[in-house]
Amino acid sequence: MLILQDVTIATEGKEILNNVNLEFGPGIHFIVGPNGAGKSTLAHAIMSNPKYDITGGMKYNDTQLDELATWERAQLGIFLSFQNPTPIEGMSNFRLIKEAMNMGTTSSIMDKLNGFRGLAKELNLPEGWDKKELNVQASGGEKKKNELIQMKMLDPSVAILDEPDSGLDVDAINSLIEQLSDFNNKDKTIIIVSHYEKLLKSFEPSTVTVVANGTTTQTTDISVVTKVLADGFKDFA
Amino acid sequence: MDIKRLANAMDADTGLAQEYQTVGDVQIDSDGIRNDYYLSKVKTWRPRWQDYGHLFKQRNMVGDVTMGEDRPLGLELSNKSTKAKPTKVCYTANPGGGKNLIPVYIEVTPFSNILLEEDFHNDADVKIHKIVYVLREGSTLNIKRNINVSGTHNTVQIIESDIVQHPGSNLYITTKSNKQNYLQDLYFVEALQDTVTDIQGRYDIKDDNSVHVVTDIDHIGTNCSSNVDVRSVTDDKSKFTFSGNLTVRKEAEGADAHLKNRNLQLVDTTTVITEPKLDICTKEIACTHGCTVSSIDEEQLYLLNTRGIDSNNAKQLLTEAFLNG
Repeated sequence: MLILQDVTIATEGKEILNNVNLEFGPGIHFIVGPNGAGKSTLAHAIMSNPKYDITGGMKYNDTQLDELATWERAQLGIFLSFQNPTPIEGMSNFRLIKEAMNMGTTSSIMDKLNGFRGLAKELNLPEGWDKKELNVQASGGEKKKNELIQMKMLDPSVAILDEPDSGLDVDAINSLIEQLSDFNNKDKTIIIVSHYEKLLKSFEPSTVTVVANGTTTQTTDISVVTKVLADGFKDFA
Repeated sequence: MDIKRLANAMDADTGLAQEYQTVGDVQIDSDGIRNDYYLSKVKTWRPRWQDYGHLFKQRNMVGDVTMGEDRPLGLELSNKSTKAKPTKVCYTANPGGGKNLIPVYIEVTPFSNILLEEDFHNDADVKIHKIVYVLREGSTLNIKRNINVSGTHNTVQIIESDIVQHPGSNLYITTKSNKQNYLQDLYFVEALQDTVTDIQGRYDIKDDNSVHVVTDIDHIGTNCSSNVDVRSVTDDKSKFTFSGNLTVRKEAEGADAHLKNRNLQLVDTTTVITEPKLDICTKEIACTHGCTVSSIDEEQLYLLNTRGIDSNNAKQLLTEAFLNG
Protein backbone atom coordinates (compact mmCIF):
# COMPACT_ATOMS: atom_id res chain seq x y z
CA MET A 1 0.00 0.00 0.00
CA LEU A 2 1.33 3.41 -1.04
CA ILE A 3 0.13 6.18 1.25
CA LEU A 4 0.49 9.95 0.88
CA GLN A 5 -0.46 11.93 3.97
CA ASP A 6 -0.85 15.73 4.08
CA VAL A 7 1.59 16.14 1.24
CA THR A 8 2.40 19.56 -0.16
CA ILE A 9 4.39 19.97 -3.36
CA ALA A 10 6.05 23.21 -4.43
CA THR A 11 8.67 24.29 -6.90
CA GLU A 12 10.70 27.51 -6.98
CA GLY A 13 8.67 28.81 -4.03
CA LYS A 14 5.32 28.24 -5.78
CA GLU A 15 2.89 25.75 -4.28
CA ILE A 16 1.41 23.37 -6.85
CA LEU A 17 -0.55 20.91 -4.71
CA ASN A 18 -1.47 20.88 -1.04
CA ASN A 19 -3.40 18.70 1.35
CA VAL A 20 -2.77 15.60 -0.73
CA ASN A 21 -4.07 12.50 1.04
CA LEU A 22 -4.11 9.40 -1.12
CA GLU A 23 -3.95 5.64 -0.76
CA PHE A 24 -3.03 3.24 -3.53
CA GLY A 25 -3.42 -0.46 -2.77
CA PRO A 26 -3.09 -3.36 -5.19
CA GLY A 27 -5.15 -2.83 -8.35
CA ILE A 28 -5.53 -0.16 -10.99
CA HIS A 29 -5.92 3.51 -10.09
CA PHE A 30 -6.68 6.44 -12.36
CA ILE A 31 -5.43 9.98 -11.94
CA VAL A 32 -7.32 12.52 -14.04
CA GLY A 33 -7.48 16.28 -14.12
CA PRO A 34 -7.30 19.30 -16.42
CA ASN A 35 -4.06 20.29 -18.16
CA GLY A 36 -1.55 21.90 -15.85
CA ALA A 37 -3.38 20.83 -12.68
CA GLY A 38 -0.37 18.94 -11.32
CA LYS A 39 -0.92 15.28 -12.27
CA SER A 40 2.65 14.79 -13.51
CA THR A 41 3.94 16.76 -10.55
CA LEU A 42 2.19 14.30 -8.24
CA ALA A 43 3.69 11.33 -10.09
CA HIS A 44 7.20 12.81 -9.89
CA ALA A 45 6.77 13.76 -6.24
CA ILE A 46 6.19 10.11 -5.37
CA MET A 47 9.63 9.41 -6.93
CA SER A 48 11.16 12.40 -5.07
CA ASN A 49 12.11 14.41 -8.13
CA PRO A 50 14.71 16.91 -6.84
CA LYS A 51 12.93 19.67 -8.77
CA TYR A 52 10.18 19.72 -6.14
CA ASP A 53 10.05 20.70 -2.49
CA ILE A 54 7.89 18.11 -0.79
CA THR A 55 6.54 18.14 2.74
CA GLY A 56 4.22 15.70 4.48
CA GLY A 57 4.51 11.93 4.72
CA MET A 58 4.80 9.14 2.19
CA LYS A 59 4.86 5.48 3.09
CA TYR A 60 5.12 2.29 1.06
CA ASN A 61 4.06 -0.82 3.01
CA ASP A 62 6.16 -0.54 6.18
CA THR A 63 8.78 1.79 4.76
CA GLN A 64 8.70 5.53 5.29
CA LEU A 65 9.74 7.07 1.96
CA ASP A 66 10.39 10.65 3.05
CA GLU A 67 14.13 10.28 3.60
CA LEU A 68 14.72 7.95 0.67
CA ALA A 69 16.38 9.15 -2.54
CA THR A 70 14.82 8.50 -5.94
CA TRP A 71 16.98 5.46 -6.67
CA GLU A 72 16.15 3.95 -3.26
CA ARG A 73 12.42 4.30 -3.94
CA ALA A 74 12.97 2.65 -7.32
CA GLN A 75 14.82 -0.21 -5.65
CA LEU A 76 11.87 -0.68 -3.32
CA GLY A 77 9.84 -1.51 -6.43
CA ILE A 78 8.30 1.84 -7.40
CA PHE A 79 8.51 2.64 -11.12
CA LEU A 80 7.65 5.82 -12.99
CA SER A 81 6.98 5.80 -16.70
CA PHE A 82 7.73 9.30 -18.04
CA GLN A 83 5.41 11.35 -20.16
CA ASN A 84 8.37 12.58 -22.20
CA PRO A 85 11.50 10.62 -21.28
CA THR A 86 14.86 12.35 -21.67
CA PRO A 87 17.17 11.12 -24.43
CA ILE A 88 20.63 9.82 -23.51
CA GLU A 89 23.05 9.70 -26.42
CA GLY A 90 25.65 6.95 -26.23
CA MET A 91 23.55 4.66 -24.03
CA SER A 92 21.59 1.85 -25.64
CA ASN A 93 18.08 0.81 -24.65
CA PHE A 94 19.29 -2.54 -23.34
CA ARG A 95 22.26 -1.03 -21.50
CA LEU A 96 19.83 0.87 -19.28
CA ILE A 97 18.00 -2.36 -18.46
CA LYS A 98 21.27 -4.16 -17.83
CA GLU A 99 22.44 -1.50 -15.39
CA ALA A 100 19.04 -1.09 -13.74
CA MET A 101 18.87 -4.83 -13.12
CA ASN A 102 22.48 -4.82 -11.93
CA MET A 103 23.27 -7.78 -14.15
CA GLY A 104 27.03 -7.30 -14.30
CA THR A 105 28.40 -10.06 -16.48
CA THR A 106 26.14 -12.86 -15.34
CA SER A 107 24.97 -15.52 -17.73
CA SER A 108 21.38 -14.33 -17.35
CA ILE A 109 22.15 -11.40 -19.62
CA MET A 110 21.31 -13.40 -22.74
CA ASP A 111 17.98 -14.48 -21.24
CA LYS A 112 17.15 -10.88 -20.39
CA LEU A 113 18.26 -9.71 -23.82
CA ASN A 114 16.03 -12.28 -25.48
CA GLY A 115 13.17 -11.18 -23.20
CA PHE A 116 13.80 -7.56 -24.21
CA ARG A 117 13.84 -8.42 -27.90
CA GLY A 118 10.63 -10.43 -27.52
CA LEU A 119 8.83 -7.48 -25.93
CA ALA A 120 10.18 -5.08 -28.57
CA LYS A 121 8.83 -7.40 -31.26
CA GLU A 122 5.43 -7.68 -29.60
CA LEU A 123 5.24 -3.89 -29.54
CA ASN A 124 6.26 -3.64 -33.23
CA LEU A 125 9.46 -1.79 -32.52
CA PRO A 126 12.12 -2.02 -35.24
CA GLU A 127 14.70 -4.81 -35.22
CA GLY A 128 17.85 -3.89 -33.31
CA TRP A 129 15.86 -1.80 -30.82
CA ASP A 130 18.07 -3.06 -27.97
CA LYS A 131 21.08 -1.34 -29.55
CA LYS A 132 19.36 1.95 -30.36
CA GLU A 133 20.30 4.96 -28.26
CA LEU A 134 17.89 5.62 -25.39
CA ASN A 135 15.06 7.93 -26.53
CA VAL A 136 17.29 9.42 -29.26
CA GLN A 137 15.63 10.01 -32.64
CA ALA A 138 12.64 8.01 -31.44
CA SER A 139 9.03 9.04 -32.07
CA GLY A 140 6.72 9.84 -29.15
CA GLY A 141 5.06 6.46 -29.57
CA GLU A 142 8.36 4.57 -29.65
CA LYS A 143 9.46 6.27 -26.44
CA LYS A 144 6.22 5.22 -24.75
CA LYS A 145 6.65 1.64 -25.89
CA ASN A 146 10.20 1.71 -24.58
CA GLU A 147 8.96 2.86 -21.19
CA LEU A 148 6.54 -0.05 -21.22
CA ILE A 149 9.38 -2.49 -21.98
CA GLN A 150 11.36 -1.06 -19.05
CA MET A 151 8.36 -1.52 -16.77
CA LYS A 152 7.87 -5.11 -17.79
CA MET A 153 11.56 -5.98 -17.57
CA LEU A 154 12.03 -4.37 -14.14
CA ASP A 155 8.74 -5.86 -12.90
CA PRO A 156 8.00 -3.28 -10.16
CA SER A 157 5.33 -3.65 -7.47
CA VAL A 158 4.06 -0.13 -8.06
CA ALA A 159 3.96 1.27 -11.60
CA ILE A 160 3.07 4.92 -12.12
CA LEU A 161 2.37 5.60 -15.78
CA ASP A 162 2.27 9.25 -16.77
CA GLU A 163 0.10 9.48 -19.89
CA PRO A 164 1.29 6.15 -21.31
CA ASP A 165 -1.07 6.55 -24.28
CA SER A 166 0.08 9.89 -25.69
CA GLY A 167 1.71 9.55 -29.08
CA LEU A 168 0.40 6.02 -29.61
CA ASP A 169 -1.66 5.04 -32.64
CA VAL A 170 -4.80 2.87 -32.37
CA ASP A 171 -2.92 -0.42 -32.76
CA ALA A 172 -0.35 0.65 -30.22
CA ILE A 173 -3.09 1.64 -27.74
CA ASN A 174 -4.57 -1.85 -28.08
CA SER A 175 -1.12 -3.30 -27.54
CA LEU A 176 -0.62 -1.07 -24.46
CA ILE A 177 -3.93 -2.26 -23.00
CA GLU A 178 -2.91 -5.86 -23.66
CA GLN A 179 0.49 -5.37 -22.00
CA LEU A 180 -1.04 -3.64 -18.97
CA SER A 181 -3.65 -6.38 -18.61
CA ASP A 182 -0.86 -8.94 -18.76
CA PHE A 183 1.17 -7.02 -16.17
CA ASN A 184 -1.79 -6.53 -13.82
CA ASN A 185 -2.15 -9.17 -11.11
CA LYS A 186 -3.35 -9.21 -7.54
CA ASP A 187 -0.06 -7.95 -6.12
CA LYS A 188 0.55 -5.04 -8.47
CA THR A 189 -0.40 -1.45 -7.96
CA ILE A 190 -0.82 0.39 -11.27
CA ILE A 191 -1.43 4.12 -11.24
CA ILE A 192 -2.39 5.55 -14.63
CA VAL A 193 -2.41 9.26 -15.42
CA SER A 194 -4.49 9.69 -18.56
CA HIS A 195 -7.10 11.67 -20.46
CA TYR A 196 -7.71 9.00 -23.03
CA GLU A 197 -11.23 7.60 -23.07
CA LYS A 198 -10.42 4.23 -24.55
CA LEU A 199 -7.74 3.54 -21.99
CA LEU A 200 -9.89 4.70 -19.09
CA LYS A 201 -12.79 2.56 -20.28
CA SER A 202 -10.60 -0.52 -20.70
CA PHE A 203 -9.97 -1.06 -17.01
CA GLU A 204 -12.04 -1.09 -13.90
CA PRO A 205 -10.11 1.03 -11.42
CA SER A 206 -10.05 0.59 -7.65
CA THR A 207 -9.92 4.36 -7.18
CA VAL A 208 -10.09 7.53 -9.23
CA THR A 209 -8.18 10.63 -8.16
CA VAL A 210 -9.09 13.99 -9.61
CA VAL A 211 -6.32 16.56 -9.48
CA ALA A 212 -7.77 20.07 -9.72
CA ASN A 213 -7.72 23.42 -8.00
CA GLY A 214 -4.41 22.81 -6.25
CA THR A 215 -5.42 19.64 -4.47
CA THR A 216 -6.60 16.06 -4.99
CA THR A 217 -9.86 14.20 -4.46
CA GLN A 218 -9.78 10.42 -4.34
CA THR A 219 -12.87 8.26 -4.65
CA THR A 220 -13.82 4.65 -5.15
CA ASP A 221 -16.88 5.78 -7.12
CA ILE A 222 -15.70 4.97 -10.61
CA SER A 223 -18.67 6.71 -12.21
CA VAL A 224 -16.51 9.83 -11.81
CA VAL A 225 -14.63 8.70 -14.91
CA THR A 226 -17.79 8.66 -17.03
CA LYS A 227 -18.85 12.02 -15.60
CA VAL A 228 -15.47 13.61 -16.31
CA LEU A 229 -15.35 12.19 -19.83
CA ALA A 230 -18.83 13.64 -20.49
CA ASP A 231 -18.75 16.97 -18.65
CA GLY A 232 -15.10 17.79 -18.06
CA PHE A 233 -13.67 19.05 -14.78
CA LYS A 234 -15.88 22.10 -14.13
CA ASP A 235 -17.51 20.50 -11.08
CA PHE A 236 -14.09 20.10 -9.48
CA ALA A 237 -12.98 23.70 -9.98
CA MET B 1 52.96 -13.80 -36.86
CA ASP B 2 53.18 -10.86 -34.47
CA ILE B 3 56.15 -8.66 -33.66
CA LYS B 4 57.22 -9.07 -30.05
CA ARG B 5 58.94 -6.51 -27.86
CA LEU B 6 61.45 -7.40 -25.18
CA ALA B 7 59.58 -6.36 -22.06
CA ASN B 8 62.15 -7.23 -19.38
CA ALA B 9 65.77 -7.56 -20.44
CA MET B 10 66.79 -9.22 -17.22
CA ASP B 11 64.98 -10.54 -14.24
CA ALA B 12 66.42 -9.04 -11.02
CA ASP B 13 66.25 -12.35 -9.13
CA THR B 14 67.26 -14.96 -11.63
CA GLY B 15 69.24 -12.91 -14.08
CA LEU B 16 67.40 -14.74 -16.84
CA ALA B 17 63.77 -14.09 -17.79
CA GLN B 18 63.57 -12.65 -21.20
CA GLU B 19 59.90 -11.88 -21.39
CA TYR B 20 58.37 -10.77 -24.64
CA GLN B 21 55.09 -8.99 -25.24
CA THR B 22 53.14 -9.04 -28.42
CA VAL B 23 52.83 -5.53 -29.80
CA GLY B 24 51.13 -6.16 -33.12
CA ASP B 25 52.24 -6.25 -36.74
CA VAL B 26 54.65 -3.32 -36.69
CA GLN B 27 56.79 -1.74 -33.97
CA ILE B 28 58.19 1.73 -34.56
CA ASP B 29 60.86 3.22 -32.31
CA SER B 30 63.69 5.68 -32.68
CA ASP B 31 66.01 2.98 -34.01
CA GLY B 32 63.81 1.75 -36.79
CA ILE B 33 60.81 -0.25 -37.81
CA ARG B 34 60.30 -3.92 -37.20
CA ASN B 35 57.49 -5.55 -39.02
CA ASP B 36 56.18 -9.00 -39.60
CA TYR B 37 58.33 -10.44 -42.35
CA TYR B 38 55.36 -12.26 -43.78
CA LEU B 39 53.15 -9.19 -43.83
CA SER B 40 53.30 -8.42 -47.53
CA LYS B 41 51.00 -5.41 -47.31
CA VAL B 42 53.54 -3.49 -45.20
CA LYS B 43 56.76 -2.29 -46.79
CA THR B 44 59.41 -0.39 -44.82
CA TRP B 45 62.12 1.88 -46.06
CA ARG B 46 64.08 5.03 -45.17
CA PRO B 47 62.64 7.92 -47.18
CA ARG B 48 65.16 10.47 -48.43
CA TRP B 49 65.08 13.65 -46.37
CA GLN B 50 65.30 15.91 -49.43
CA ASP B 51 62.10 14.28 -50.77
CA TYR B 52 60.04 14.27 -47.60
CA GLY B 53 61.74 16.63 -45.14
CA HIS B 54 59.38 19.52 -45.90
CA LEU B 55 56.49 17.53 -44.46
CA PHE B 56 58.20 17.31 -41.10
CA LYS B 57 57.97 20.91 -39.93
CA GLN B 58 57.01 20.87 -36.25
CA ARG B 59 53.90 22.56 -34.91
CA ASN B 60 53.65 21.38 -31.32
CA MET B 61 53.63 23.61 -28.25
CA VAL B 62 57.01 22.47 -26.91
CA GLY B 63 59.01 23.83 -29.79
CA ASP B 64 62.46 23.26 -28.29
CA VAL B 65 63.12 19.85 -29.79
CA THR B 66 64.98 20.08 -33.05
CA MET B 67 64.65 17.39 -35.61
CA GLY B 68 67.95 17.92 -37.37
CA GLU B 69 68.05 15.91 -40.51
CA ASP B 70 67.28 12.50 -39.14
CA ARG B 71 65.84 10.49 -41.94
CA PRO B 72 62.26 9.56 -41.17
CA LEU B 73 61.17 5.98 -40.92
CA GLY B 74 58.98 4.99 -43.82
CA LEU B 75 56.05 2.65 -43.95
CA GLU B 76 54.11 1.92 -47.10
CA LEU B 77 50.70 0.35 -46.74
CA SER B 78 48.74 -1.20 -49.53
CA ASN B 79 45.64 -3.33 -49.70
CA LYS B 80 43.31 -3.44 -52.67
CA SER B 81 40.69 -5.58 -50.99
CA THR B 82 37.46 -3.77 -50.14
CA LYS B 83 37.63 -5.22 -46.63
CA ALA B 84 40.65 -3.99 -44.71
CA LYS B 85 42.29 -6.35 -42.25
CA PRO B 86 43.68 -4.34 -39.34
CA THR B 87 47.39 -3.56 -39.25
CA LYS B 88 48.53 -3.02 -35.67
CA VAL B 89 51.27 -0.45 -35.13
CA CYS B 90 52.95 0.17 -31.79
CA TYR B 91 54.92 3.42 -31.40
CA THR B 92 57.56 2.77 -28.78
CA ALA B 93 59.81 5.15 -26.87
CA ASN B 94 62.88 3.17 -25.79
CA PRO B 95 65.04 4.13 -22.81
CA GLY B 96 68.54 5.30 -23.63
CA GLY B 97 67.61 6.00 -27.21
CA GLY B 98 68.82 9.56 -26.76
CA LYS B 99 66.19 10.88 -29.11
CA ASN B 100 63.15 12.85 -28.11
CA LEU B 101 61.52 12.69 -31.48
CA ILE B 102 60.48 9.82 -33.70
CA PRO B 103 59.72 10.95 -37.27
CA VAL B 104 57.58 8.50 -39.24
CA TYR B 105 56.33 8.70 -42.80
CA ILE B 106 53.33 6.53 -43.65
CA GLU B 107 52.11 6.29 -47.21
CA VAL B 108 48.87 4.65 -48.29
CA THR B 109 49.15 3.60 -51.93
CA PRO B 110 46.49 4.65 -54.50
CA PHE B 111 43.08 3.02 -54.09
CA SER B 112 44.19 1.05 -51.04
CA ASN B 113 41.87 0.41 -48.12
CA ILE B 114 43.78 0.42 -44.82
CA LEU B 115 42.73 -0.05 -41.22
CA LEU B 116 45.49 1.04 -38.85
CA GLU B 117 45.28 0.27 -35.14
CA GLU B 118 47.77 2.51 -33.34
CA ASP B 119 49.08 2.03 -29.83
CA PHE B 120 51.68 3.97 -27.83
CA HIS B 121 54.25 2.61 -25.39
CA ASN B 122 56.66 4.74 -23.36
CA ASP B 123 59.70 3.38 -21.61
CA ALA B 124 61.34 6.79 -21.65
CA ASP B 125 60.47 10.40 -20.79
CA VAL B 126 59.49 13.19 -23.17
CA LYS B 127 58.62 11.74 -26.53
CA ILE B 128 57.32 13.42 -29.63
CA HIS B 129 55.83 11.29 -32.34
CA LYS B 130 55.81 13.17 -35.59
CA ILE B 131 53.78 11.13 -38.02
CA VAL B 132 53.17 12.14 -41.61
CA TYR B 133 50.41 10.29 -43.40
CA VAL B 134 50.10 10.63 -47.14
CA LEU B 135 46.90 9.26 -48.61
CA ARG B 136 47.32 8.76 -52.32
CA GLU B 137 44.54 9.06 -54.89
CA GLY B 138 41.34 7.20 -54.05
CA SER B 139 42.74 5.57 -50.93
CA THR B 140 40.97 5.10 -47.60
CA LEU B 141 42.74 5.21 -44.25
CA ASN B 142 40.88 4.31 -41.11
CA ILE B 143 42.94 4.96 -37.95
CA LYS B 144 41.89 3.65 -34.57
CA ARG B 145 44.26 5.35 -32.16
CA ASN B 146 44.56 4.31 -28.56
CA ILE B 147 46.63 6.78 -26.51
CA ASN B 148 46.33 4.95 -23.22
CA VAL B 149 50.08 4.94 -22.94
CA SER B 150 51.52 1.76 -21.50
CA GLY B 151 55.06 1.27 -20.22
CA THR B 152 57.07 2.68 -17.37
CA HIS B 153 56.77 6.37 -18.28
CA ASN B 154 53.65 8.32 -19.02
CA THR B 155 54.95 11.78 -18.38
CA VAL B 156 54.87 13.64 -21.66
CA GLN B 157 53.43 12.56 -24.94
CA ILE B 158 53.16 14.69 -28.03
CA ILE B 159 51.63 13.22 -31.13
CA GLU B 160 51.74 15.40 -34.19
CA SER B 161 49.86 14.00 -37.14
CA ASP B 162 50.32 15.70 -40.46
CA ILE B 163 48.04 14.34 -43.11
CA VAL B 164 48.06 15.01 -46.83
CA GLN B 165 44.93 13.84 -48.60
CA HIS B 166 45.28 13.45 -52.35
CA PRO B 167 42.15 13.67 -54.56
CA GLY B 168 39.41 11.18 -53.81
CA SER B 169 40.94 9.94 -50.57
CA ASN B 170 39.03 9.22 -47.35
CA LEU B 171 40.36 9.60 -43.83
CA TYR B 172 38.62 8.39 -40.67
CA ILE B 173 40.31 8.79 -37.29
CA THR B 174 38.93 7.60 -33.96
CA THR B 175 41.07 8.49 -30.96
CA LYS B 176 40.58 7.38 -27.38
CA SER B 177 42.71 8.53 -24.49
CA ASN B 178 42.32 8.20 -20.75
CA LYS B 179 45.43 7.97 -18.67
CA GLN B 180 48.46 10.02 -19.65
CA ASN B 181 49.78 12.86 -17.48
CA TYR B 182 50.33 15.20 -20.36
CA LEU B 183 49.22 14.95 -23.95
CA GLN B 184 49.25 17.07 -27.02
CA ASP B 185 47.25 15.39 -29.76
CA LEU B 186 47.60 17.49 -32.89
CA TYR B 187 46.09 16.96 -36.33
CA PHE B 188 46.96 19.00 -39.41
CA VAL B 189 45.09 17.98 -42.55
CA GLU B 190 45.57 19.24 -46.10
CA ALA B 191 42.55 18.25 -48.16
CA LEU B 192 43.29 18.57 -51.86
CA GLN B 193 40.11 17.69 -53.77
CA ASP B 194 37.01 15.47 -53.43
CA THR B 195 38.21 14.20 -50.07
CA VAL B 196 36.41 13.02 -46.94
CA THR B 197 37.89 13.76 -43.50
CA ASP B 198 36.35 12.55 -40.26
CA ILE B 199 38.10 13.01 -36.91
CA GLN B 200 36.49 11.75 -33.71
CA GLY B 201 38.43 12.36 -30.49
CA ARG B 202 37.38 11.15 -27.02
CA TYR B 203 39.45 12.27 -24.01
CA ASP B 204 38.76 11.20 -20.43
CA ILE B 205 40.97 13.28 -18.12
CA LYS B 206 41.46 12.90 -14.37
CA ASP B 207 43.68 14.01 -11.46
CA ASP B 208 45.86 16.97 -12.46
CA ASN B 209 46.46 15.67 -15.98
CA SER B 210 46.53 17.98 -18.92
CA VAL B 211 45.40 17.33 -22.49
CA HIS B 212 45.61 19.69 -25.44
CA VAL B 213 44.03 18.96 -28.79
CA VAL B 214 44.46 20.86 -32.03
CA THR B 215 42.66 20.09 -35.25
CA ASP B 216 43.55 22.09 -38.31
CA ILE B 217 41.71 21.25 -41.49
CA ASP B 218 42.75 23.10 -44.62
CA HIS B 219 40.26 22.79 -47.48
CA ILE B 220 42.47 23.50 -50.47
CA GLY B 221 40.56 22.20 -53.49
CA THR B 222 36.94 21.72 -54.46
CA ASN B 223 34.32 19.41 -52.94
CA CYS B 224 36.11 18.38 -49.77
CA SER B 225 34.04 17.40 -46.76
CA SER B 226 35.28 17.39 -43.18
CA ASN B 227 33.76 16.54 -39.84
CA VAL B 228 35.54 17.08 -36.53
CA ASP B 229 33.88 15.88 -33.32
CA VAL B 230 36.04 16.17 -30.19
CA ARG B 231 34.73 15.45 -26.71
CA SER B 232 36.35 15.64 -23.31
CA VAL B 233 35.37 14.68 -19.78
CA THR B 234 37.34 16.48 -17.08
CA ASP B 235 37.43 15.53 -13.41
CA ASP B 236 39.45 16.53 -10.31
CA LYS B 237 41.92 19.30 -11.25
CA SER B 238 42.50 18.30 -14.84
CA LYS B 239 42.83 20.62 -17.80
CA PHE B 240 41.67 20.37 -21.39
CA THR B 241 42.14 22.79 -24.24
CA PHE B 242 40.83 22.52 -27.77
CA SER B 243 41.73 24.63 -30.71
CA GLY B 244 39.79 23.82 -33.86
CA ASN B 245 40.99 25.55 -36.97
CA LEU B 246 39.04 25.35 -40.18
CA THR B 247 40.25 27.00 -43.35
CA VAL B 248 38.30 27.04 -46.58
CA ARG B 249 40.37 28.61 -49.31
CA LYS B 250 39.00 30.75 -52.12
CA GLU B 251 39.30 27.88 -54.59
CA ALA B 252 37.66 25.34 -52.26
CA GLU B 253 34.09 25.66 -53.54
CA GLY B 254 31.65 22.95 -52.56
CA ALA B 255 33.26 22.45 -49.15
CA ASP B 256 31.11 20.80 -46.50
CA ALA B 257 32.77 21.44 -43.15
CA HIS B 258 31.57 20.73 -39.62
CA LEU B 259 33.41 21.36 -36.37
CA LYS B 260 32.09 20.33 -32.97
CA ASN B 261 33.66 20.29 -29.52
CA ARG B 262 31.64 19.16 -26.49
CA ASN B 263 33.05 19.10 -22.98
CA LEU B 264 31.63 17.56 -19.85
CA GLN B 265 32.94 19.10 -16.65
CA LEU B 266 32.28 16.73 -13.75
CA VAL B 267 33.44 19.25 -11.13
CA ASP B 268 34.10 22.96 -11.28
CA THR B 269 37.74 22.59 -10.25
CA THR B 270 38.73 21.58 -13.78
CA THR B 271 39.74 23.95 -16.55
CA VAL B 272 38.32 23.73 -20.05
CA ILE B 273 39.19 26.11 -22.84
CA THR B 274 37.69 25.70 -26.28
CA GLU B 275 38.38 27.88 -29.27
CA PRO B 276 37.01 27.39 -32.77
CA LYS B 277 38.72 29.43 -35.49
CA LEU B 278 37.14 29.57 -38.90
CA ASP B 279 38.69 31.23 -41.92
CA ILE B 280 36.22 31.00 -44.77
CA CYS B 281 37.26 32.57 -48.06
CA THR B 282 34.51 31.41 -50.39
CA LYS B 283 30.71 31.54 -50.34
CA GLU B 284 29.79 28.28 -52.02
CA ILE B 285 30.05 26.09 -48.93
CA ALA B 286 28.14 24.52 -46.05
CA CYS B 287 29.82 25.06 -42.70
CA THR B 288 28.75 24.59 -39.08
CA HIS B 289 30.53 24.81 -35.76
CA GLY B 290 29.63 24.50 -32.10
CA CYS B 291 31.50 24.29 -28.82
CA THR B 292 29.92 23.61 -25.45
CA VAL B 293 31.03 23.13 -21.86
CA SER B 294 28.43 21.58 -19.57
CA SER B 295 28.01 19.59 -16.40
CA ILE B 296 26.04 16.37 -15.84
CA ASP B 297 22.47 16.74 -17.13
CA GLU B 298 20.15 16.65 -14.10
CA GLU B 299 17.23 15.27 -16.13
CA GLN B 300 19.34 12.36 -17.37
CA LEU B 301 20.62 11.71 -13.86
CA TYR B 302 17.06 11.67 -12.54
CA LEU B 303 15.93 9.28 -15.27
CA LEU B 304 18.65 6.79 -14.28
CA ASN B 305 17.80 7.29 -10.59
CA THR B 306 14.17 6.38 -11.29
CA ARG B 307 15.45 3.09 -12.66
CA GLY B 308 17.16 2.28 -9.36
CA ILE B 309 20.69 3.33 -10.34
CA ASP B 310 22.40 5.33 -7.58
CA SER B 311 23.87 8.72 -8.38
CA ASN B 312 27.54 7.65 -8.42
CA ASN B 313 26.90 4.82 -10.87
CA ALA B 314 24.55 7.01 -12.87
CA LYS B 315 27.23 9.71 -13.25
CA GLN B 316 29.74 7.10 -14.38
CA LEU B 317 27.27 5.75 -16.93
CA LEU B 318 26.48 9.23 -18.23
CA THR B 319 30.19 9.96 -18.60
CA GLU B 320 30.66 6.78 -20.56
CA ALA B 321 27.61 7.54 -22.67
CA PHE B 322 28.90 11.04 -23.38
CA LEU B 323 32.19 9.64 -24.66
CA ASN B 324 30.41 6.90 -26.65
CA GLY B 325 27.93 9.22 -28.29
